[in-house]
Amino acid sequence: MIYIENIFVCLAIPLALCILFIGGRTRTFMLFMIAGMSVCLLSAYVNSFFMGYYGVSATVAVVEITPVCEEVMKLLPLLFYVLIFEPKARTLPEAAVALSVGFATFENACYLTENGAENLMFLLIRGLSAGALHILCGILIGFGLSYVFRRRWLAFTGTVGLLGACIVFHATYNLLISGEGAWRTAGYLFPSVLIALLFVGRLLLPKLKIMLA
Amino acid sequence: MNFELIDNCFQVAVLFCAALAAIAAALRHKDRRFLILALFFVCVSMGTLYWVLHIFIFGDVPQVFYVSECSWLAGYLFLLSFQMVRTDRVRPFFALPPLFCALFTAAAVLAMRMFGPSYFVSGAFAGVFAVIVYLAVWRLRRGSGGGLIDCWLLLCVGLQLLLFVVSCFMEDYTRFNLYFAVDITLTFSFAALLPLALREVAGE
Repeated sequence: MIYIENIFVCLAIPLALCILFIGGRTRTFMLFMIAGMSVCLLSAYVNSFFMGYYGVSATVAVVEITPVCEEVMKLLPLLFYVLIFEPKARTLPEAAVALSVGFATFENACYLTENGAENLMFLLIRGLSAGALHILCGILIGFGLSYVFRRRWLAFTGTVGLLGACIVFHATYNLLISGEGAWRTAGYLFPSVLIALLFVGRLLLPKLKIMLA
Repeated sequence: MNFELIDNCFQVAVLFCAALAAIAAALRHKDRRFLILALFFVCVSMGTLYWVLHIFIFGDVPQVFYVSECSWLAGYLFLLSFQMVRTDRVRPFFALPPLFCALFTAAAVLAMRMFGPSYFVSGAFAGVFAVIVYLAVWRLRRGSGGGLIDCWLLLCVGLQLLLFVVSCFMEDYTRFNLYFAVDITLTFSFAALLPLALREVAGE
């Protein structure tokens, strides 16, 4: 058993303190990082509830329940931000990425506490793939809501659609790393490869003078 | 390997290629309709991929949560978004014939519980299908251009419903049968939306 509330307090307090002395976009970024950590904590409770409710094993929960709960929980602070504060289009992707970073950081901290930090190579691979997965989901939601599905009803269908896309992407990753051998390797590789491709694309697109309307 | 896996892998491969082509079209034409189509292809193929991987890794279909169904529903929501973007420039209004078609579609999905025992999942699919059908029939009646895509969307919804009807009469999924014929046709129908959209954009 690990005391995730205690880990949360340890990690979130320095971040919360620094918010008092910074401003602007850095403050927004930091706030969303803390929100991401809080969402991770709450997701653990919700996952445990559904695991007990359905009476399933940890593996089934990881493959079928966790992706749904985590992605829905991650979307809620962003929806609150969009609906209440009506931010500019360019600030939403940053907020979504910060939320994902906070979520992934807290998840990794809990993983380290539970499993130890002896195997650096494995932690490097796991940190890279889980971080890449959450950040990719954040990018998809952030950019999707900001630039593709901006208006009225389109925002509704787009948001639910993007949520579904994130759920299946996350579930596929969890499914692959729950397998053995080549499946697990593929699971660890595919978010890292995708984020690398996305990064290369981000660098190349302006050079090719291609911009999406 | 039984035919169900072959069919699903085929669907994943075809729709993944279609998604890549749609992304290329989005970059070339700077039009978000292609990006939405790409998301549609990705969601449908990822839902199927998750299903296939679950069978490969655990030897059984998912039993607790509807992850694949979430993905397929997301795919149809993107198809609906695609239709909404196309309808953006003309003002929609109420009309009885499209409403009847939409209600008939929703009733068919709900009555036959085509998407599993969950009322929530069936209701969500019924709602999305009904709005897609409403917009397609409304646009066809209005004659606002792009009629071929509207007909094609109706065909896709019809094939999806037919797939579930056919599945009620099939028991053996290890070899080729009518179910797979409909599924493969549906896959090609999805993929054909991309050239049709390219034609529509080129004509504007």
